[in-house]
Amino acid sequence: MIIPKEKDISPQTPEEALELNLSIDYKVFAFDIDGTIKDDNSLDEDVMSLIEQANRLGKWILFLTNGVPSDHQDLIDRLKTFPFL
Amino acid sequence: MEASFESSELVIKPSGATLTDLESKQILESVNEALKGRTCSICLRVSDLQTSVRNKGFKVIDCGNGDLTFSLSQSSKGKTLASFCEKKGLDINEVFKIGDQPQEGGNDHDFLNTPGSFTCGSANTKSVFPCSLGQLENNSARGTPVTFEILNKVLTKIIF
Repeated sequence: MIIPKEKDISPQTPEEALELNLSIDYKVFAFDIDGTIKDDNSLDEDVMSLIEQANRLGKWILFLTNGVPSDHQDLIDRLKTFPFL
Repeated sequence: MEASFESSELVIKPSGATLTDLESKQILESVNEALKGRTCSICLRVSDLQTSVRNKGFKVIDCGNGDLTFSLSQSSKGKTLASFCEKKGLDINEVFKIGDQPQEGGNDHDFLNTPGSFTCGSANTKSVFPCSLGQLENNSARGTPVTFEILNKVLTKIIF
């Protein structure tokens, strides 16, 4: 007896992938912010606006970057550029 | 450290400012070896460089603006996100993820290849993820405006 395999529900096309992505109940919002940090360590104004909008969701928000703080104080100083923290 | 190659217009800016002279010399030697006599495209160079320096403990990341980041760290955005999800007991597919460099060797590649990932750039990948609004709607806009649009679509669950 041949047992049929479970149907593969992985998206096969970009349209199916988008439909899946828009149906997910997201618990966390993660943003790449590389390329948006100015020389004075402040963030691009448009990105700040986006982050403030996302912050109103009341869910976890992550900012991902390859930037490397030099020490703990440097990290604190960078975080201070986020006005809602 | 910063290095320029006249023949390729390639600018190299290693991340972090704590490389020792010996480490900087090792990187430059690896890059010189990989670039020797080559006139190929930057994509091929990135691939060559990644292969060349991987065994020496370095990582090469395509920043998408012509810069390459050399890193001694084995950390990455993908590993950081996976670690966060593990600690919080979350499925990484339940995380909305967006970035602009999802291509192979790009600095967002390792966290934009699963469900829930979007790009505000061009989704030049073999996978159906990340979803690219530009690709689907022939929208050439990039960056923050597209990120706003994608975020709004997610929040309002509008499927077009």
